[in-house]
Amino acid sequence: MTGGFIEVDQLLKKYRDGVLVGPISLSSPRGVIYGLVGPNGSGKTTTIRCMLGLQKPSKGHVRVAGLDPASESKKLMQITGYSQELPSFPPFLTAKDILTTTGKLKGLSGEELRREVSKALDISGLVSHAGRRVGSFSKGMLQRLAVAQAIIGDPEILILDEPMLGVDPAARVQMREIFMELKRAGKTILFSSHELYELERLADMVGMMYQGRVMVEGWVKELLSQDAGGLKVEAEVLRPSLITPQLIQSLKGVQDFQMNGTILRVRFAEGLDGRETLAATLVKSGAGLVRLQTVNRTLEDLFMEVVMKGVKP
Amino acid sequence: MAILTIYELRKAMARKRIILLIALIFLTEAALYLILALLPPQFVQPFKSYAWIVGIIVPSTVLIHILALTIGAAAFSEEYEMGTADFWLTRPITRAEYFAGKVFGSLVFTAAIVSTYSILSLILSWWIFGPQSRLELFVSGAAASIFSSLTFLSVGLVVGELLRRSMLATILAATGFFTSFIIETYLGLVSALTGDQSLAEYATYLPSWAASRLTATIISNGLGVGAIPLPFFASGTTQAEILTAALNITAYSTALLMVTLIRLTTTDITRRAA
Repeated sequence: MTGGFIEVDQLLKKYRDGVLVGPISLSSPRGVIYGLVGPNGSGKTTTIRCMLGLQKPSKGHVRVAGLDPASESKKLMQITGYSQELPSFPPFLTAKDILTTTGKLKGLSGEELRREVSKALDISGLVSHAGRRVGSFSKGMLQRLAVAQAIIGDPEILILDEPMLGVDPAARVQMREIFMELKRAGKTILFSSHELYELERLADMVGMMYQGRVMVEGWVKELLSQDAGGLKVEAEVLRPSLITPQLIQSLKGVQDFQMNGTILRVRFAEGLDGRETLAATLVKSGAGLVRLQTVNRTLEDLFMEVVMKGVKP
Repeated sequence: MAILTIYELRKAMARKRIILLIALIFLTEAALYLILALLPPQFVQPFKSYAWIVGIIVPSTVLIHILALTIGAAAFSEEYEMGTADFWLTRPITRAEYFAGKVFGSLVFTAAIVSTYSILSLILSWWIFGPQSRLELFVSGAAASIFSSLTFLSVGLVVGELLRRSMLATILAATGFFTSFIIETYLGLVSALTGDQSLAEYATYLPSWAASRLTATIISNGLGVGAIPLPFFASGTTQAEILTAALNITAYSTALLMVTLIRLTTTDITRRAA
């Protein structure tokens, strides 16, 4: 254990059908947005459910805010808001019922409860649907309600499983703003997502899961810095036929390259900047050079490089 | 616990299966009194001042247990099916509190139905047959019905929690009730025909034996021998029978509720069933 606010240490979950998830280790400091990403079946939801005490680890430990979710779930839930993947609420209750029930269980009452419920309805844009039974809600509305009930009672930690799933673009922007506002208020948010672009915009830290393991974990800024994984350069040339594999491979530090029409993409070894040499080589070869630019690394690149290849960086 | 109890009442009222069963109970009540009203007066005359008893005893024999096991079978299993077990268990409540709220809510709902049809039986019998006698037994009769419903409510709860599928749990729990009921009837018949009392003794260990007769036994015992000239009431019942029935219900309910609680508190909460 390294003492993070959310700490998962060598978590191993064995299911009755023989499926084994883990060992998973991740650590999130307090006050950050932590994004958990990975393909379906990679173990994101299992990790989240163990953090909430809904499942018990077969081996390893989980601590959230210093609490053991399995034995101290009541204390933990007092300071935690949770929104489940594909939210489900009792269909015969109204949105207001759901929020009021959650508020009451979190110890709110009277004016404070009314204020919290109305704030949550307002933030989620569900004011006009407050009295409607949730059984008639669309997927997007349910998702917004899930986030609304998670923030009732001003929790310190928010654990959100795929909170953007099925949400329309306008609500997505709104949700992003809610998360940023909560982060500014010092809350710790852990959310899982399939959407790397969303994660890149929101998360301070990221954990990339694949086949039941965290393959990469770190600060998004560091992971996406130019040096990490090597510098990527894109060049547009005039005469692509003059570019041969030998020509590019002869350049110092070239890791790999791709030619697509008039666009040449080259990745250099980590810590090496071969832009000048590349430009000079292209001009000298007669291929010509229209433009040359650095390609920023994205989480998608990282995901493809590290996770899909199953190799740790 | 109050929140979960109210939730349980609202949930039961939102279920078609439950509404149908309640409708069936009330239709049975109405049909019973209609039949009694149509019978020749000389037949009804000896017990017309006890007509309220019919409306309490008849549903307590079978129908209330079917209702109880249906409510019980869905109490936990439907939450898994709907994915709402996650909703409850990610609030600041322990699993034991969740269990207590659900069991209490289910029992309160069953009690409300028993109370309603018992009052209805009193109103109908008074209206059709005039003033009723021995009404001091009314409360103990209704209370016995509520208490006896605990056995099959617990059967429903345990099967529902073990299977985590509401329809399958309802079918299995109902099968359990009818199997026990048939075996009990068979043992009683064979015992009466052969005079072998040990068979009747075995029947007292069956869950349906106490559940289906506690109400009638208590009322019969209260009325005394010969108050109503019908076979069950004519011979009278003993305090020992009441005690045996009460012990049977307590033993089954406690054991089954304990299994439910252990299962709920020691296993993973399954995700929404596909």
